[in-house]
Amino acid sequence: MLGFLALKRRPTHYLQTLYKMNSHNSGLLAEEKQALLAAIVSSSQDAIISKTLKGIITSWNPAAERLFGYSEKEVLGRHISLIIPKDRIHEEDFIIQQISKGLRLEHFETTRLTRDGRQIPISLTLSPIFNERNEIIGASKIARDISENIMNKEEKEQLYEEIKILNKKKDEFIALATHELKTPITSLRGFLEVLQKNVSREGINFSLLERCIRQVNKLSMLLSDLLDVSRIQLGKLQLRYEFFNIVEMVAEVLSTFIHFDKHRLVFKNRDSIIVYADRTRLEQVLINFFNNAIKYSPSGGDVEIKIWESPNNIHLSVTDEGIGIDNEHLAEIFSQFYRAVNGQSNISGLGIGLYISKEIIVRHGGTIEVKSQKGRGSVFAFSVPQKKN
Amino acid sequence: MKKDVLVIEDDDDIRYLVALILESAFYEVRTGASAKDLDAALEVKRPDIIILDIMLPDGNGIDLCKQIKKNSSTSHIPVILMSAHQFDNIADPCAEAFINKPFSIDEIITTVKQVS
Repeated sequence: MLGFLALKRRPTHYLQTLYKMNSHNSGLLAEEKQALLAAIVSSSQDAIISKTLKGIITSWNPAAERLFGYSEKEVLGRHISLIIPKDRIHEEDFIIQQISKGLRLEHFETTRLTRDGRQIPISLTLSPIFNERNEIIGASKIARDISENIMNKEEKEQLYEEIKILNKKKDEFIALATHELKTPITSLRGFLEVLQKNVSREGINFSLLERCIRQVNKLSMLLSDLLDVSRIQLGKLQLRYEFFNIVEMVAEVLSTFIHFDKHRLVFKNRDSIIVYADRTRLEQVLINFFNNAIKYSPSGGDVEIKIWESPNNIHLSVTDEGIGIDNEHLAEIFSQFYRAVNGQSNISGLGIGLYISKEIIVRHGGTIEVKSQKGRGSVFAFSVPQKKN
Repeated sequence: MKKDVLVIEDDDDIRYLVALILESAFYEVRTGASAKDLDAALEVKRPDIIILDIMLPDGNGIDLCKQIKKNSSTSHIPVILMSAHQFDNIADPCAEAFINKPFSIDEIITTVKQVS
């Protein structure tokens, strides 16, 4: 039967104990004890009711008066079905059955009827009452009004739903906004390129335009990252698998990073290694690793890329000799909007590159990791399963 | 003879830009800004290549591409789809090539050369 959270063989003996105290005259005086008990019952915020095994009400505290709307006078001697909704009358049979066996019912959630016909959700705890001969003569019942709990629960669920909707709207908005922003960037970049083709390579105009194009590209990449985050959160990041030579892919990407004065790129792989993965997305991870390596080694140094195979996986690592990352930051470095360096630093970025990288690798069924030593540099690495044709 | 490229893109500047790039690469370029323009242009003359933006005010480039491929008089024409959304979620792309926005001049020229 639903609603019974606990059903225990633990009869309440407190009334019985009270009788015993009375007869042995131990501790408090019997009258004092009685008065204390009466005070507790009458001041309780929970409705406390007792009834015989036949269901006749024998006590009714002020909280019961408030909860159900009947005065003690009105209900004493009447049957408990007075407050049980018709469709729940069978519950009483069950309750009496359990009580007769000496069982206790705890937190039985149900509804009861008030004088003015309202049904209120309550939580019932019922215990058998014993007489001096240890016979069960009735039940004590504590009823707690849980309508507020239920309201809270409903309210929470409603709020949760609202937050979910708002969050989805936010992601859709980011997707739309980035799309809209890409249109002007496309023509801006295109016109700059056209312009660049029409000026002499030697003059300053050429290099100024080159810088403009680089900045527009940066803007475009930031937008792509934002779009990716919203895609990831909407569950729309999809992979396009193909077989390709990852060594060649890395060499191609590196060839686009040629403007370095302080850094030396080291990439010694020559033999081809075929991987089955989303080429564009792995390129993106590599570029993220690589950009981080450059960005976080402002004084320069070697940046080394290594690719190697293990029986089931293909591994790639990017090692730098940069500023390194504190241990405390390492655990969170792949989480969204996380930046190991605080906001005042002059190192730019949205803090979403590694989050996106992690998502890409995880979707490939691979793993991503970072090792770092403060002041010595970092190693970012991923491995993806090697699926053979 | 110059190849004839039909460019359907609703953003004025991007349409102008693509035309500029292709004309400088010695293509004959016709342009339009909507699905309606596409139909009208196809009526006048069958192009050698169609460049089609995915989000048009009166239609979706993917659907239009499918129509082009279904119609026996146009099914042979290579289609290049263009979008600012990466082409992640297209189940049946139908087109011969894709160009992500923002693109570079070289991407436009290389892609058009590839399909023609």
